[in-house]
Amino acid sequence: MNESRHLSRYLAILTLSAVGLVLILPVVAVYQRAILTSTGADFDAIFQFGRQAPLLARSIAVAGGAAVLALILGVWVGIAVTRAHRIVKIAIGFAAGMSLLTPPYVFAIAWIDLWGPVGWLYHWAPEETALLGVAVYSLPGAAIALAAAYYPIIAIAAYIALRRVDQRWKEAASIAGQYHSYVREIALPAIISPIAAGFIVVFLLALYDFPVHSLLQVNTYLIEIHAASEYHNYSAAVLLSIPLVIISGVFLIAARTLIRNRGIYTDAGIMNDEPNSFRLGLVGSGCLVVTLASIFPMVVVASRAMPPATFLRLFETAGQELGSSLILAFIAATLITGLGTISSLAFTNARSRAAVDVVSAIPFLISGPLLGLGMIAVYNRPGPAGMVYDSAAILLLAWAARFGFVAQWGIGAGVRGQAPSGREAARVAGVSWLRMQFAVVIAQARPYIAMVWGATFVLTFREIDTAVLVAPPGLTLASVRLFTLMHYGPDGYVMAMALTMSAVMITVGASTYCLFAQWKRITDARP
Amino acid sequence: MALITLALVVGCGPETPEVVVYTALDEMYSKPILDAFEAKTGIHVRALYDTEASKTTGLVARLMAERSRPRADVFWNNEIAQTILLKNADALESYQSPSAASIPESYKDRDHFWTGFAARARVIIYNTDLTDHPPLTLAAFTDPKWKGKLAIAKPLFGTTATHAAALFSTWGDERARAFLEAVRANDVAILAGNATVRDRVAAGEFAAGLTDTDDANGAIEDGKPVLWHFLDQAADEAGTLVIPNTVSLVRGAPNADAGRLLLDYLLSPEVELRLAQGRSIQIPLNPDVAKVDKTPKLDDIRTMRVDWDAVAEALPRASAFAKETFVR
Repeated sequence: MNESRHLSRYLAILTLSAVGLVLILPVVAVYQRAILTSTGADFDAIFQFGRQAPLLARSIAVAGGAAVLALILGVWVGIAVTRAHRIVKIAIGFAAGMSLLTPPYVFAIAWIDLWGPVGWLYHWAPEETALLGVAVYSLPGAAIALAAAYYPIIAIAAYIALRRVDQRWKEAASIAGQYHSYVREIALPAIISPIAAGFIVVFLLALYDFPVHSLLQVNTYLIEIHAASEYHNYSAAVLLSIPLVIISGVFLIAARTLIRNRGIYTDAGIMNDEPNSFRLGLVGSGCLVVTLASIFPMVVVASRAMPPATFLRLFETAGQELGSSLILAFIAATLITGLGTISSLAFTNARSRAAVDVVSAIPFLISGPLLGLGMIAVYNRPGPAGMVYDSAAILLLAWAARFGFVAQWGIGAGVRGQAPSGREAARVAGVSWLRMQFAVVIAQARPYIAMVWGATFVLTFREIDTAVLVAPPGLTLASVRLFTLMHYGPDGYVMAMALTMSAVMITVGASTYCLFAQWKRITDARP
Repeated sequence: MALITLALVVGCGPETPEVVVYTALDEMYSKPILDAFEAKTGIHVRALYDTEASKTTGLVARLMAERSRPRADVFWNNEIAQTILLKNADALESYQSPSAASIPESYKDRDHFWTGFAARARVIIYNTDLTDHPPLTLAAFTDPKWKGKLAIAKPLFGTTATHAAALFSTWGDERARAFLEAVRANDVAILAGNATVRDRVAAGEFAAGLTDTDDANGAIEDGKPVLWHFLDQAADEAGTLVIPNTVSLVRGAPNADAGRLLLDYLLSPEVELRLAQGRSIQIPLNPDVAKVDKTPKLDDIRTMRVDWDAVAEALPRASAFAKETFVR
């Protein structure tokens, strides 16, 4: 029995190592080429500290500002939602979700329409506030717009965390006069870790959002990388990306630590023991934040997409692209989630798991375009590799490389959080390794698997940076079509497409969240 | 339909002849033309489109990266400078298309690595609610009268980068540098791209800006309060820069014969007419193409005379200076 257990596990590790190699090779190719073909003189020409240090500082300031503001707004809304009536909760979730899933560039255009110097609100505002409109095009303006786009990530993290702090412990601690211990040992670890992880995710998304930085006239470090790529100096682009990779890597490792440190908490929900007026004020202010940050911009997007006939024309002319994207994102999400699940089961040793976690994030850190170039270098060659490159399979591989860490980390966290008693009982009962994984580990990790599937579906459905470099000719994805149309396309059509894509993503996101909640209730209810 | 498309790209080799084209011209304009070619010849077209987010650079990067095993047969670019960079990188194949006979020599490569057609021109777009007397020349961008009221796209990317490189190659580096410094000193807003210039002038945030004919016409067709005119059209002025679409055969193209047929078709008067009639009002370079009311004829424009090879050669220099001047 023991031998078969080890054999299954070693086979899984071997398979995953092969898959990992396939996914990590493009990264190696990109860096190997850049470093080997650069001389010392190149390094001096590429890294111009005097110019680049302020740009890097500005990048960090925009991303940091956006993350801090998103933290404030997100926690506020997250707390408000826990106290809100179910209908209000769904409405807030829908509004914030739609704005989160709209491409940030489209969201930023709506933001300018609203708050810019000739925006809708400017017309109603007193003349003295005109300067505020101009401030949209500034570093703080960019940070605010990005915070408005991404705060729902922190709101979701805060909501889930708050929902799961067992209020009975609080009551017991208060009775025993140990309230501070409760806060220090139970409440804070449970709440802070997911919120801080959300903060880091927002920081990273805001750091890399070049189209929004550019639209709001903030010169950030990314322009150095884009300018190098524009003139086909890919070695320079790769080398210039190193500072951002290091910063992102540090933040991602911090996020991983926070995800791991989930504290002790159960699912007993929130006890609404505050006075009614306080609760109303809290929910009302949360609704106000959502209205200003999400609903207003989405109304602008929707009004630009009108009349409804625009949507009919969209389905007539872009139905194929939407269909292809749906199918590919479905397959990719299933593949990535499957790999993440197997990996979480195979690498049980803490050290090997940490190593796999770090390695799986590297393809994401080097950015989509550079990963795409690496994929071309590795797969565009005669033989089986070329057959993969010439088919849609290359997209699946590229996305698996880019977003594999989401599954690795997400499902890994779910598996690590399980009490060992279930597995111990299965072992004592002589259940085989494979059966134990299905009956005990996967059964308990189902909520996380559902969430990871939803997240990777959304990420692959909207992915563009790698897709534009590796998609096979003859296949156009909805995300590529949307960005193609942004230049010349009629405004309404572009907005209708952005809204339709957001609606698809929120449907999938909401469905997987429902699955997550339902399965979580079942697994948490088990003794 | 989506399933069929996926099956096609996943499946084995095609039974019908095919041609693979990478096109930087937006799908809404290029697809109907490629469909018409397919209907006319029976050759299946597999197209790959670029995105505004990585305009031309995405496909050019891919063509560069695929040089050891090219997958594309034809590259249809919506501008010229990046095409010449591809030629210089040995990624293109020479082909003298019979359809290009009437196209002026100044819009063709002397070694036939690329051929120009259906051009855009640099124009001044202005908001009619804000001004009746818009700037007429490039020099106006350094005129204190317009301080803080004008906008251009970042001269690091797209046609604005090509325009800056054209100034470096025709004026010389010193004069071009002085001009860009003066633009900066005159508080001209440096925006994300030509489409952003169009949108913000149309919104009334700036009185006027420098953009391309296709962007400017799009705003007019959307009913925005804007008009446009060509740059530097007086008799003693240099004229405006006219930037053609370019089409090239890829070196080592897997379907080179079909690629040549597609090139011939794209360079035909039929295609130029179709592009002239569209929203992007591409200016026909072939004098045989019938006049379209809303689209100017090349003969009616005072055009800036440039050596395109020199423009491509100046591009990295101009970009480096623009980066130092405008990206701080």
